[in-house]
Amino acid sequence: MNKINTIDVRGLKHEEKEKKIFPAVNGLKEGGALRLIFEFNPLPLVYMLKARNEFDISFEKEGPAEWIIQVKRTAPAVNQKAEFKQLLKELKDGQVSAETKEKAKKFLQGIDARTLGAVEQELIREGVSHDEIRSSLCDIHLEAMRDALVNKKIEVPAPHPVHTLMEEHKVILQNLKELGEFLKKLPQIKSFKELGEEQTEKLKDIAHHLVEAENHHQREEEALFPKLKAHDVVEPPQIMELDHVEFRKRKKELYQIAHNHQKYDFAEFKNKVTELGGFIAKELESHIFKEDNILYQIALQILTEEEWKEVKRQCDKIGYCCFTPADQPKGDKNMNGKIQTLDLRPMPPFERHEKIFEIWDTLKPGETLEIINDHDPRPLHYQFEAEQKGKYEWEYELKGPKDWSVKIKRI
Amino acid sequence: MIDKVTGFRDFFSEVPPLKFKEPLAETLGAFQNEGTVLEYSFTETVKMAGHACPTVAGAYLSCQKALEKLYPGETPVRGNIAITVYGEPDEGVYGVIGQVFSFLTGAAPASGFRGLGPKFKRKDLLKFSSDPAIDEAGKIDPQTMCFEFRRLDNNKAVRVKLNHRNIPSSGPESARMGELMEKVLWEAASPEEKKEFQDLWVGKVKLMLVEQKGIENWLKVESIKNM
Repeated sequence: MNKINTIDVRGLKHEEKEKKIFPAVNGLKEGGALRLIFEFNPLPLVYMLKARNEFDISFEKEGPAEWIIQVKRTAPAVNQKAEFKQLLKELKDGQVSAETKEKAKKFLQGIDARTLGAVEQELIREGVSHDEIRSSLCDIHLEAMRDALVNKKIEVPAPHPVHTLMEEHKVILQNLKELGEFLKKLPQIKSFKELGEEQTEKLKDIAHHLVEAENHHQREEEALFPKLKAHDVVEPPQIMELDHVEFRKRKKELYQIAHNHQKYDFAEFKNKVTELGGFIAKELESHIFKEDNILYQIALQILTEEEWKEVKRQCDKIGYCCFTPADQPKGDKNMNGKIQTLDLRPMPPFERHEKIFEIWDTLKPGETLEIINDHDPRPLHYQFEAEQKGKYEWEYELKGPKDWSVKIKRI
Repeated sequence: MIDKVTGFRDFFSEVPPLKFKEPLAETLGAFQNEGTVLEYSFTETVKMAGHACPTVAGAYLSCQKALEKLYPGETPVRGNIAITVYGEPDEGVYGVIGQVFSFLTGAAPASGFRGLGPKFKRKDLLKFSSDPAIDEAGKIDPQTMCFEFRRLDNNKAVRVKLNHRNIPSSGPESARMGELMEKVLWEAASPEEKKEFQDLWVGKVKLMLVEQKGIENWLKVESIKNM
């Protein structure tokens, strides 16, 4: 029997771990095996290695203080990474042949979201730039993966942060569709007069919704991505962050042109809007697809329930976009029975509290008070927790930014 | 109007400063004369915060009104006041409010001065609480931000309730400010729009600090009975 070497990487910094692990793993001969000891669950690494289709990986011990995995080489070192690298080269070299396109499609269809993320991550560590991966893969990636990934997609209910982000994506996509329609009309138009006030206002509105989505990106960057990075899924969120930077630059320029079109002659206006709008419409759609079908899917597989609670808490603190849909599904089965609606918005603030409890005190079990307010009634929730614990259910129907709606059910 | 000395808007200098004794500076010989009283002005608060806004103005006024009630006829003492902010430091504007309180009163979070022996400790005098603030009647006012100021020498305490929603301003004015703010932030505003936005913005700050219009509806200071 072959001797199995053991490498204990507990306590080492991330880079030091990698320096010990990868040369040893890559140096394994067919049939050879290696034991690795960690102080945490090395799941991302396991997926990364599995992606290469060269190893059998088994857990010998799974926590709580240490995780031990055994990596056994089952095939010589022909791997997906090399294949992927070759593909990138071919895709980058000008015209993409039908053969390359087919090869890329086949490769991408045979790989799942997390594995692709891991392979991308490994390539970036070896010096392939984010941009190279992003620009080369975009179209074919989407074409190849659309059906396969959509079929594998995990859906989560409201108010899960991923649900909210994906619902917001739908609104952003609708705005992109409107941008696309605007761009389609533009080539035939010869002057601002012909474009008309309605269409210039339309562009302003589209630009407003594009910049309003910054808050969506902020929630991803500050609440979700750090959690992925803590699980050593570093590169995929970084690629998305770089996308955000690119979009931000162009959205800003488009917003400025939309609001100051009178400063441009029409031909210049048309060129700039076509260029900026075209980029945003195409690239943002592809970005959204990647987030919905790859990044969020990786996150849903990796993050713990506690971590999702923390992501939600952070998201709530950052706030939502003006177009964020209500984060509770309508007609929830737990919310049946008689519903009384109280619109607090026109009432003087000092009267609102009293009125809520006046109605609440009259409700029978199973009945619901729905309040509509002009701010988040979070403090009221605290009061219910302090005074009515166990006697009520609290569900947001609408979460700002102008109006909030909550159903409070007596149980 | 612009103050030629400070470069700030003129009305900043119309805001009464907060006066403090500072025993730590006195003990360590920072003053030429014993019993020096320090003044902390709104202009200095703006320099610390890097901007003037309704939040900074609200925090400044909250502190001023709380100390007037806690130190009637006396000069407040820096480092002798513990403050609880009912909100989390990374939630909404509570972090900025805490910074203003800290600057004015010396009450610091965990990063503050540890003290010299048993004296002059500033660390942990400023706390943030995620619990809701419950008033004497056991109720939570869902409309307000709430802060508690407590004198360490006699344990007297007051609760400040600040409700920005009750500060008078017309709906169309707020909507216009929001619209202009987006244009300013995305660098699409004309010089006139930028000026209009700035005037609306500081107009609200002035209304709070100088005119104090309807202050009884948006800033309340209540004594807290000692347990």
